[in-house]
Amino acid sequence: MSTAAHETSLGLDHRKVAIWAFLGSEFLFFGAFISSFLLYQNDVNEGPGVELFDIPFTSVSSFVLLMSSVTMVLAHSAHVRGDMRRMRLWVLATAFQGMVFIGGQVFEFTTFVKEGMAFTTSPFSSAFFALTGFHGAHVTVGILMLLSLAGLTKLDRVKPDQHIKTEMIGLYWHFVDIIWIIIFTVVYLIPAG
Amino acid sequence: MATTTDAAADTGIEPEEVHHPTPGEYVRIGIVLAVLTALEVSLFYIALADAVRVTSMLILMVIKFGSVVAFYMHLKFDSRLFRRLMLAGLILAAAVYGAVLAMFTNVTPPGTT
Amino acid sequence: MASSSVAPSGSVFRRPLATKGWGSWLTTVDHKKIGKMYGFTAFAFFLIGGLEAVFIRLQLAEADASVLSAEVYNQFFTMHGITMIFLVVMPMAAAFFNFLIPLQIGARDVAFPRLNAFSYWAFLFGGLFLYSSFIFGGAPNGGWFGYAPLSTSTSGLNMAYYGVGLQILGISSLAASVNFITTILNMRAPGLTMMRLPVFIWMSLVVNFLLLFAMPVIAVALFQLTFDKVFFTSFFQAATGGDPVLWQHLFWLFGHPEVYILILPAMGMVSEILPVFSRKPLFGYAAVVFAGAAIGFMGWGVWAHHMFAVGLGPVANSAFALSTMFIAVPTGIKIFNWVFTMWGGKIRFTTPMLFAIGFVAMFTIGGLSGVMHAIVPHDAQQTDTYFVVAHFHYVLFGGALFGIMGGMYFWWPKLFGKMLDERLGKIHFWLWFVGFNLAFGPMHIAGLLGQPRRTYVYGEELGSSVERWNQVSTLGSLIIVVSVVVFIWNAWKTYRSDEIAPHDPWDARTLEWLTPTPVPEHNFDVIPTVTHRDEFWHRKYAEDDAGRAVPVPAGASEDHAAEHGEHEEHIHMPDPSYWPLVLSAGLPFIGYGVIYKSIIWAVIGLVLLLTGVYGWQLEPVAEGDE
Repeated sequence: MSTAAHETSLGLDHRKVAIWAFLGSEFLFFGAFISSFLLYQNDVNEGPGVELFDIPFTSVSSFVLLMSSVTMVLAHSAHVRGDMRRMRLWVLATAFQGMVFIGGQVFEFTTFVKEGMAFTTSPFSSAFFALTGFHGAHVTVGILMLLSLAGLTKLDRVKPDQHIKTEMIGLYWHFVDIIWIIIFTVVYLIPAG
Repeated sequence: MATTTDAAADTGIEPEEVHHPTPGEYVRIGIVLAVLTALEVSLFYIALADAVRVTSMLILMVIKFGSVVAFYMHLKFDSRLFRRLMLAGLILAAAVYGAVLAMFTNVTPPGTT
Repeated sequence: MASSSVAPSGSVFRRPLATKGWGSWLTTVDHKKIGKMYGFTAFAFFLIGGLEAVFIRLQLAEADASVLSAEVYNQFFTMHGITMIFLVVMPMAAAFFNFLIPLQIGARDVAFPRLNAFSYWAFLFGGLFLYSSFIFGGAPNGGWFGYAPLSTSTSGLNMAYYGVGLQILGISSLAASVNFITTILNMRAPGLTMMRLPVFIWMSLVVNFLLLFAMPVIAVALFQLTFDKVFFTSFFQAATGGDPVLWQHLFWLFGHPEVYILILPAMGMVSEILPVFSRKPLFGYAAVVFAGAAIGFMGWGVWAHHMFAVGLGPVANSAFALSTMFIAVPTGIKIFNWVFTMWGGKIRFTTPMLFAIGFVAMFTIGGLSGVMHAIVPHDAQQTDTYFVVAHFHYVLFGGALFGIMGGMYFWWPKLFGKMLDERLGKIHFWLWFVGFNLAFGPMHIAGLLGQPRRTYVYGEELGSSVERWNQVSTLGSLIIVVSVVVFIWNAWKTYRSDEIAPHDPWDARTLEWLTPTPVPEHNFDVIPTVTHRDEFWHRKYAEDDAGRAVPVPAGASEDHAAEHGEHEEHIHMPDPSYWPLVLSAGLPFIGYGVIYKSIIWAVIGLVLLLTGVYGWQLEPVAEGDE
C-alpha cells in the first residue's frame, strides 16, 4: 500500500498518518512524567537534589543528541536521492551518537547513585529517574531501529525507493530529540540554576 | 479533537512535499541549533535575574523545538493533518498538565512545587 | 492491497496461508475474524464479570451477611469493575469497530491488519494475565480506580497485577486506536466525505482519538503505581513525601475520557439502529456528529469532578462543576435528535429497536443523575454511596450495554449469516430491562439513605428499608442472569438452525449491508463509489414528488448491478501472520518478570517480543510493503 498513497482518501501514506497520531499521543506520555517531576523537584527527603546535576556533562550529551538529528535528516535526504551507501553511513552515525548519549546517561545515573541519590531515595529522585529513564528507553528503541535499518539496507530488504522507512524512523528519532530539548531546559537548566 | 473535524477539509489530494531542504540547509539549521544550545548553557552561568534567565531559556527551548519540528520533521512542508495531530497532542498535554500543576500550587504550601 | 509473494520454502519467515480451520484463527489478520474474536472473548469475560456481580449481590442481599469474606469481596468488586470496563465494554466496542469500520467506509480491511491482530492478542493476554492473579495469590482488591495509598500500601501483589495488567490492555488499546484513526481518515471509499460518514464511524473516530490521548496518561500513572508497589518508590506515598492526589489527577485525566470511550460506541450504534427501524434518516445528522466531537473535546475538561471530595479549593471546584454541567448540553442534543428521529417515523419494534429505545431512556436517567453530581455540595453527600453506583450503572449498563446488545441483534445476520430469534430476543429484552431497573433503580434510594459502597457488609443500623432495597437489587440481578441465559439459548438455537439470513434483512441504510452474507474475505468485489449519506438506502429507494421513498426496481441502479457482477481478477488480501501472536505473548512474561522481580521471566518475555518484532519485519511482503 505504500506505493499507493495517492489511492488513499487523504493522499497520504497510512504509515505517516499513524506515526503522527502516535507521536501526538506521546506528548501526553512525557507530559505526565515531566509534570510529576515539576511537582516533586523539591521533595528531596533530606537526600540530594538538583545540586547533583552536572550541567557541563549533560550539556555535552544533550548536544550530541541534538546533532544526531542533523545526521538523521541527512540519512533521509541521502535515501531520497537513492544514495544508499551514504544513507547507511549517516544512519550509523546517528545510532552512534545515540549510543554516546545513552552511555552518558548510564554514567550519570551510576554517579548519582554513588552520591546517594537512588531510584527510591525521594519523590524527586523517583520522578527524575522515571522521566529520564523512559526517555532513555525511547532512545534505545531508536538505536535498535537505526541499526536494524542499516542492516536491512545491506541485505537489500530496505530498497532505495523505500525512503519512507527512513523517514518514519527519522520522525521518531527527531521526536525523542525534541522531548530531550524540553527535558534539558525544564529539568536540568532551570531548576539547577 | 480539532483534527477530526478539520480532516473534512483535507479530502483533496495534497502535494506530498512541496519543498525539500537541501543537505546544506539541514547542516545550516544544525549549526543554528548548536549555537542556540551554547547560548542556553551560557545563560546558566551568567548572573541574571531568575525571571529573565528562565524566560530566555524557555524562549530558546521553544525555538529549538520549533526548528526541529518544522524542518527536520518536515512539518512546515507536509500535510496539515500531521501538523494538527502533533498540535492536538502538544496543546492538550500543555493544557491538562498545566491545570493539574496549577491545582497543586493552590492547595499545597508555597515552595513545594 | 499487497500481493503475496512466494517465499523460499522452508524459510522461518514464510507466512502461514490457511484461512480455514482452527489454526487460521491464530494467524488471521482479517478484520472480520478479529472482530468476532474480540466479541467472543469479551462475552466470556462478561459472563465472568457477571458471576462476580451475582456473588456481590448475594452477599448484600441481607445486612451483615457472610456469603463472601471481606477479602474475597474486595477482590470480586474490584475485578467486577475492571472486567466490565476493560474486558467487556471496551473490547465489545473494539469488536464492532473491527467488524464495521472497514465495511461501513467501503474498505477491504483496516490500515494495518497485523497490528490489528496484535491488538486482539494483547487484549486477550492482558485479560488472562489479570485473571491469573486469582491463582497466584489474589486478584486486585483496591477498587477499579486503584486509589493510592491504599493500592500501594496493601500487602500482597494484588495491585501489582492491576498495574501491569491494565498496562498490557492499554498497549492493546493504543495500537488499535492508531490503526482505526488511520483507517477512518485514510481508507474511505471514493466520494465518502467526512460529512457522509455513518454516525457510528464518526463516534468511532472520536473514541479512538480519546483512546489515543488518554492511554498514555494512564500508562504513566500505572508505571508510577507499579514502581511504588514493586520497587518501593514514593510517587504516591505521603509518608515519604509523595502525593496520592497526583494519582487521582492522572487516573481521572484518563478516567473521564474513558467514560466517553465506553459510551460513544453505543451512541454510534443506536444512531444507526433508530433510523433503520423508524424508516427515516437520522434527525440532525450534523448536530449529532458535532455533539459527539464536542463531547470528546469537553471530556478532557471535567476530570476533577471525580475529585470534589479531595478539597481542591473553591476555584477548581467551581470551574469543574461548570464544565461538567456544560458537557450535558451536547449529550442532551443527541438525546433530542434520537427522539426526533423516531418522531413521525414508521416504527418497527424489533429487538434491536427495543434495545435502542431502552438505551435512550435509561441513558437519560443516568445522565440526569450525572448532572446531580456536578453540583459540588450535592456530590459531597453522594460520594462513596450507592447513589454513585446507581448512576454509573445507568450509563454503563443502561447505556453502553443496552447499545451493544442492540448492536448484536442488529448486526448478527451480517456477522454470522443467521437471524437471531425475534421472539426469544424480545423475552431477552424485557427480562433484561426489568431486571436492570430492579437491580440498579433501588440503589439510588439505598445510597441516599446512606449505604456506603465497597463495604462487604452494611449494618442493620442503616434501617430495614435499606435492607429491603438491597433485596430488590439482588432479585433484579438474578433476573438479568435469566435474561442472559435466554440470550445464550437464542444464540445457540440460531447457530443450530439452517435458516440463512438475507443480505439485507432490516432494509438498512449503510454500506455494510451492500455486501453479500457471509461477507467475502475482501468485503467488496468493487469498492463502491459513494454519492450520498446513507448510500445503500439511496441505491434502493428514490423519492417521488411527495418526498416518499419509492423502491428502485432491482437492477436499475447500475452500481448495484456492477458490484455483484463477475470479477475475473483475484483480489489479494494480506496473508495471515503468526508474529502478532508471538509479539504479544511476550507482554505477560515481561509483566510477571516485573511483578516478581524475576530477570528470567522478563528475559523470556523480551526474547518473545523481539522475535515477534523481527519476524514481523522480515516476513515476506506484508501490508506495508510492495
